Amino acid sequence: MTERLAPRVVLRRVEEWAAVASLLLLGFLPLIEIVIRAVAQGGIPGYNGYLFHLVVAAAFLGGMITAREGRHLAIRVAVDTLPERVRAITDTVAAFLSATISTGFFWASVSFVAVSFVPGTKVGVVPIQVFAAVIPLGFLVMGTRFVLRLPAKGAYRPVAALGAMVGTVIGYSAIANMVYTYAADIPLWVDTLYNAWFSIMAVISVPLIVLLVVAAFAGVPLFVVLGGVALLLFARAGGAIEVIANEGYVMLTGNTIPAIPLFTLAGFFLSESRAGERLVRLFRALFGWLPGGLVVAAVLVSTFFTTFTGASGVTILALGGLLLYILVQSGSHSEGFSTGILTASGSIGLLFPPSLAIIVYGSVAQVSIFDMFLGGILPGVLMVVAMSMFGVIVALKKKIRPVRWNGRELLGALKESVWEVLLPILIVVVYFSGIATLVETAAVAVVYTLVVEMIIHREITVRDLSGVVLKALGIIGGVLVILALARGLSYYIIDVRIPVMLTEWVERTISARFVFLLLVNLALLIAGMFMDIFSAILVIAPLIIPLGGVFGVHPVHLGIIFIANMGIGFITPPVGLNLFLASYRFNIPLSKLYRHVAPFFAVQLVIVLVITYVPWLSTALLGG
Amino acid sequence: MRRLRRSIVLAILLLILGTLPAFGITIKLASVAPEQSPWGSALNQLAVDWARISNGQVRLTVYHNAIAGEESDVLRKMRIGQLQAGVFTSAGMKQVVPEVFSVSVPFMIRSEEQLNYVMERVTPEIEELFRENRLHVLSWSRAGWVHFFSKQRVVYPQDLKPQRLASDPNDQELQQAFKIMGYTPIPMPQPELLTSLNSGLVDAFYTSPLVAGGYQWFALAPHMLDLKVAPFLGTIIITDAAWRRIPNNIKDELMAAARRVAEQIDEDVRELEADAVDSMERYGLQVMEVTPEIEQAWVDDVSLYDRAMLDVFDAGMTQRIREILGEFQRRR
Repeated sequence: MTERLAPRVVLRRVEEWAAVASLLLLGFLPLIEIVIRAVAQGGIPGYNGYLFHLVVAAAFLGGMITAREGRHLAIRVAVDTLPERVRAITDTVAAFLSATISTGFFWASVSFVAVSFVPGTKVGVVPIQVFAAVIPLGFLVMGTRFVLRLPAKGAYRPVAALGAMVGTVIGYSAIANMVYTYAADIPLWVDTLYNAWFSIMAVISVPLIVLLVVAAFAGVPLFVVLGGVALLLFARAGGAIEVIANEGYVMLTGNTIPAIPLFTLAGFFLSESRAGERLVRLFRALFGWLPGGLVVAAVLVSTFFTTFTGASGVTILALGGLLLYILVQSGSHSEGFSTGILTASGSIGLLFPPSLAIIVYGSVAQVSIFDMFLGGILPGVLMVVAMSMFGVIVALKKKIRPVRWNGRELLGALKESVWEVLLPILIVVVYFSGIATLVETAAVAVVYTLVVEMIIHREITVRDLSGVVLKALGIIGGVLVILALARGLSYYIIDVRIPVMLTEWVERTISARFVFLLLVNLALLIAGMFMDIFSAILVIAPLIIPLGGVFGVHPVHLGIIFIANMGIGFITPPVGLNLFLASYRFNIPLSKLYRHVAPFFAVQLVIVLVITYVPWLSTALLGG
Repeated sequence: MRRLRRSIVLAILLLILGTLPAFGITIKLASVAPEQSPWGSALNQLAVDWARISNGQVRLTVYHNAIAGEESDVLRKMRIGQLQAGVFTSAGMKQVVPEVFSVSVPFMIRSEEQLNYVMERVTPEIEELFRENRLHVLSWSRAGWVHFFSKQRVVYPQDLKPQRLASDPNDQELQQAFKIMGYTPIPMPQPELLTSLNSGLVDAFYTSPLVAGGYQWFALAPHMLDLKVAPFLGTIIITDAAWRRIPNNIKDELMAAARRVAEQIDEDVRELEADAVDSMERYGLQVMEVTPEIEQAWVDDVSLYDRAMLDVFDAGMTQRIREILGEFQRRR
């Protein structure tokens, strides 16, 4: 009695199964490693390699699922108010461009897989190309799905599919690169076409970039826009377009990146169970008697989590859903206010010890890390107080009546939610006792929440499991794919030496410390929008540190300015990274989120200026 | 009609010409060393030298401080053609030519003299292996000698063996080697080393004094054993494709310039390594002096695993270096 399944259904199941498996494996592998390490010497051979490449797999398989559901992050301004006829056309243009760029990415990544690795390179016992092949596969499937989202009737799909041809033209240099590497003798046409490609790109790349940026507002996914601009810029400069795939690969195989999908997944296990209700009850009993107490608690929890995970975006992904539920369910805060403050609070924890950002900055700048930790405390407290005040002021203004303190209610709430309350404690203990690294701690959090919600509370059944994981994958894929493709643009900035040129310009023209600091603020704000904090520290810090010396800025002060500035870069419209993550997690359009975040952003901006021009805040605790 | 066609052809030609680089060759070179380091200033000097030698035809653009990526990343970027040259340490080189890493077998080469003697004899062979991978070695220098740093004082091998020894995940071979010798290596990415030392996930690590001082890792593991564990090398490597585009008549001079800066690097690294130890001592580093008797204890311990090392490192090259070292011993 075997049912014959349509090939399409089979493919779909294989895809889902592979995606779920890669993410769950990513969660369990570190745990196995911890156990083996405790029992035997060493650990799993090639463990780090497997771990990093599982992230690559989860990112692109997840990205495919995100594309299937049409959930890749995009800005759609006013498109939906257009008449249907016009909208069909803009959608087709958007799909055409998406298909064009995805095809470019596809060829770039095929060549990346074929050419860039030294032959014989392995991950554990598997040839590295096997893992890396998921990158071109992902782009191919995503590009196809952008076209398939158009109506089947009419010429929409065929027109959009023409993008694959344009994309192949853009990707020609990658094809030629493979021929140059592997063909015994190179046919003449390869060279001829290469020269033609060079001239064609010189002509079409700028118009295409303009078109892409405009189309960004008509629903072309942001990863396509960010990566596409970089792709065209590299092609125009006659560079290797494979670098786009390479930078994405570097980003995804970063040491702490596995923590992002893992904490996101743990956050989903919590938000898909009734943990939210339990925690609302507890938080109300704990903080409800204070005016604005819940907001203060949410700000503190976000700060704390960011400090310990070192990545501001992770906080929003892991805890955002839950905290939003708590704030909104309490009945006293609107969704707009709540999403705004949660998004804005994601990055302030970067200033407190033992934030990884500070550690990396101290190492790069050769400033004592201990001093940097001390320097960050007062500015960090200022940020926390300012965000908390929002809650208090709103509560007083709206005359929200605090709940009466009730010890018995508190005890009941605590008893009910004890397993969830133990989670942050578990994280702190596991991470700081030296049992596990950050990534392993994230994996512990995944398995712990899974056990709590599936076995103890039985609110997620075995049957639900793959559904919940798939839901998380839709977000994880979207987030990781944007992270991966945005990095291409930041490498272009490095390649053409923009930071170096800016420094030289400053050295030549600026003489006042005040102006210098203002420029630092501005430059870091812009950098914070486009670069992740660690690349920014590596790229920009070495440039401004000598300048800071020239203008007599205390090295610790400069470091704190740097971190605080990068922090608000994350929430700077239109492309601050945390805005993307929040839009995903809270499921609200970006244009709406910009409005919600604006007041908090403005206040943080003022505080950054205060930190910049009042050195005392950063240096007071340093002592002699 | 014909005029129109002619002007179109002309326009296309102009476009092509306009996009071609005016003159000369740009070589993009990536280095993981900071600009304010012996490597950084030497590479800047090399850019100036090459411009002078080639009358501005060869432009060397240097990307310092790993902003163009870590070594394995730079290697990939060279293979796809985004970068043309790079500075590599032994850990990066061995990804292309595993034989290089035989020079860094723990406690095999233990002095500058031995290292020089060995390198004189194996360099041509190693450079040939690079050429088979379409890479061209311009110069060789020292990247520094690896030492042990630990939280507790270490004198003999058995002091260190039970301690959890951080090991860069990229150095699979060293990790494997230490494991075989009975140590307890824990794969630990560099950015996490400081937090792991702090939390007690690891108790010790190995690296060159320059790195330990630069990243301030020694602050949490303030005991250094004054014993040379292994040398790490550094090279400047250029892709064959880029090297071929350079006019033949200036190649020798360009090479000579690269060798000159490499010698300067050697001198500076030696000096700075001593300086680094001095300044770390001012900030609380305890240096454990090594008597001949102590050194012998380490050498004796390692000799138990001579055979096993051949399975971890390239066997042919390791054997050859051992023979060369034997020859060196007999000559003295």
